[in-house]
Formats: sequence, structure tokens, C-alpha cells
Amino acid sequence: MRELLGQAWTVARKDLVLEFRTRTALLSAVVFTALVLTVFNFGRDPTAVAAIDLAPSILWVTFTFAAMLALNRAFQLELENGALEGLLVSPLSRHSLYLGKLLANLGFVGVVEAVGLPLFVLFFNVPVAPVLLPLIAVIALATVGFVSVGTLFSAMVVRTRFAELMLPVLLLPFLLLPLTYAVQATARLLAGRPLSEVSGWLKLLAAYDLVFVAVALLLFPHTVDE
Amino acid sequence: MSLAQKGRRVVLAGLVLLGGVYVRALAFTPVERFQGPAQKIFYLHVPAAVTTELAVILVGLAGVFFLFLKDPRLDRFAEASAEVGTVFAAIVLTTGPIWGKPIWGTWWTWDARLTSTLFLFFLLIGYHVLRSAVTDAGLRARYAAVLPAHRAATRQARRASRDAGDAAPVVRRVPGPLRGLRDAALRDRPAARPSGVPCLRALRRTPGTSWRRTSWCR
Repeated sequence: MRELLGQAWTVARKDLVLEFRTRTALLSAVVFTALVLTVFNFGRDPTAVAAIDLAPSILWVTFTFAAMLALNRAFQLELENGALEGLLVSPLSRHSLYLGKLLANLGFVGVVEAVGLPLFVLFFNVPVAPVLLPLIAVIALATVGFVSVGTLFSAMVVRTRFAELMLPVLLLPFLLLPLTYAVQATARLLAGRPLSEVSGWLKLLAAYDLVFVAVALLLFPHTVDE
Repeated sequence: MSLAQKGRRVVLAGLVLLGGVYVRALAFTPVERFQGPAQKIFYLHVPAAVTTELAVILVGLAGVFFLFLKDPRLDRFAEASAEVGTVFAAIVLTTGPIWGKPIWGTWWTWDARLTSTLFLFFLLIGYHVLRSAVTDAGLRARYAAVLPAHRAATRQARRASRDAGDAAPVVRRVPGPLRGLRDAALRDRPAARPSGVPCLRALRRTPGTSWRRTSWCR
């Protein structure tokens, strides 16, 4: 167990160091998020629809797209110079490779969301201060769900043709469930409903995370083995 | 007689029998009391839905077994099942709205059962797209097996969301059109109506107001 986590951390650190040193992907993802939020602002009629009514959908569509962008590059990175083969022949277990990639992607998407959330509050004037902690819990749980499935599929599509297009086609149907839960929870939080109304959705998100991290861990070796 | 000839005869016999079934079903059954002729679409919609579910379950099982046994026959079986499933899912998603328009007053509603059928259809399309994008046969088989294995997990998640009760959307096991029939049968006996069953009264659109499906009988 200790070894598994240690190896996973090594993989994650390698990816994150690479990401923060080059910064290209991270910067473009952050800018992309800001742009999607801006587009949403102009994509609605402010006199007809109040920002607060659309806010949960806007937040989650933006985060879904941002996660997709981040996941696309997770294994693309390893294609250059046959780095994936290098990882596979190294004495890493497949499970720790998956966990490492999962952690790195979580870090990446987490940074993007950490920039996206304040921008969202700023652009749409949503009162998040009183519900900040539960909202962060919803975001964290949903992100783990998105990224656990996404990391598995990203490993799978990287060796197909049209990988950038293939990932959304395969992944989006699987994101419908956590997306529904997250939007419902966010809408109730932003409407100032009591926390007891949100806890059911949080439990569902947590259950989704547990199931999909476990299933993806089991299936991951099949997607990378030769 | 060669296998192909035998197969052709079986298919021909099946088609003739199927034709007989539909003549019998459409022309020689009584018109349903509440829904009228619209109910006849059940004879196409429900078998197609059952076939879709069966095909998808078979794709999933073949996928899981393929990951352990690595038998290429399982992969071919899964691909064939997925094709059948896609065709029948398309039939379900076409006939459903045709029935829904006269009975529910709308072509489409984001009900859990409809959404999950649509999800299934997208997944099947994704399955075919994925297969066509991988050139290496062994790799293709493995990827194609991972996808439905994942889908099985989503099914469980859906079950969980049904069982979670209070906050979660309720997923009913009765297929769309059948549910309407059940409601119609229960309509005049409010005491016998189980909780959570949509009222026909709530479903019927009153002129001048927008159609809503959110109210449920308690």
C-alpha cells in the first residue's frame, strides 16, 4: 500500500513538475476557462434570464470542458519519444501509474478550477461566500468523479486516431451522472437551501467517486498493456 | 444444404412469422380504452426496448469475459451485439416520442428512463466510433471490452441514485409507454395508486399553459 502510494506520488510529481515548468497547457486551460465564462455571459439575455438561474449550469459546463481539455493532454504528454513505453517497462505497478496520473490530473484541473471559481463569482455576481465550504466539497467530489473516468479513457484514446475528438465522445455520457448531481447540489447551495437538502447529492457524488476510482483501477492495466 | 442456405431459410421463416405477429397485433387486438390507436406502438416499442437492454447486457458480459479469457470470438460477439443494440435503441428512441406526443403532449421529456436510454444510445455510438478508430485488432478488442465493463458500473451508480431515496431522482422500472398504460388503469382509483406514480391529470396539458411533468402524486 505504502509502495503503491509512493510510486503514484512519483508519477504525479513528475507530471506536475513538467506542467508547472512549461506552463503552456496550464495557462491555455485557465485562459480557456475564462473565455468560456465570458462566452456564457454574452450567450444569455441578461434582461430575460437572471444570472443566478443559469449560474450552476454555467459553472459546471465550464468545468466539464476545462476538465476535458486537461484530460486530453494527460497521456498525450507521454507519446513523445515513446515515454509511455518507458513508464510501462519501469518497475511501476500499473495501479500506481493510474493513481499517479489521477493525482496529476486532479492537481491540474484543481488549479484551473481554483482560478475559474473566483472568475465565475466575479462575472456572474453570485453570492458564494456563505456556502463556500460546501461548494468546494461539491466541486472536489465532482472533479474526482470526472477525472477518474477521464484518466482511464484518456489512456485508452491516446493510441487511437482523432484522440482529441474521441475523448469527449466517450467521456461525456459518463459525466452526465456526476454533472447532474453537481448541478443539483450547486443550485440548492446557491439558492440558500439548508445543507440537509444537499447532503443526498453529496453522498451520491461520493458513491460515484468510489465506484469509478475502483473500476478504473481494475480496468486500467487492460488499456495500457501490450 | 450449406450453412448460408440454412441461415437464409431461418431468417425467411422468422420474417414471415414476424409479419404474422404484427398483422395479429395491429389488426386483431382491441383499441386501448384511454390511449386509443397510439397504444399500438407498444408492439414495436417494448420488444425493441427489451432487445436493446438484452443486447447491451450481452456486450457488457462479453466484454468482461473477454478481458479474462482473451477469446477473439467473444470480441466478435460483442461487436455484433452492439450493432443489434444500436439499431434497436434507435427504434426505441424513435417510437417513444411518436407515442409520447399524443399521450404526454410532448415529444421528449428528461425523465430518468428516457435519459438513460439516450445515454445508452450515445454509448453504443461511442463504442462503434472507438472500434473504427483503433487499427490494431488486439488493442481494439481490449478497448472495446473496457468501455462496456465501465458501463456496467454506471448502471450500478444509477441503481444507487434510485435507492438513495429522498434527494435523488426516482428511476422507475416500467418502460415509458407501459407506465402510461399503468397510470391509465390506475387513474380512476386514486386509493390504489402507488406513491411516486405520475398522475395523468398532472401530465395532461391544460390549454394555454406550458406542459410540466414535475408534479407527482403522493
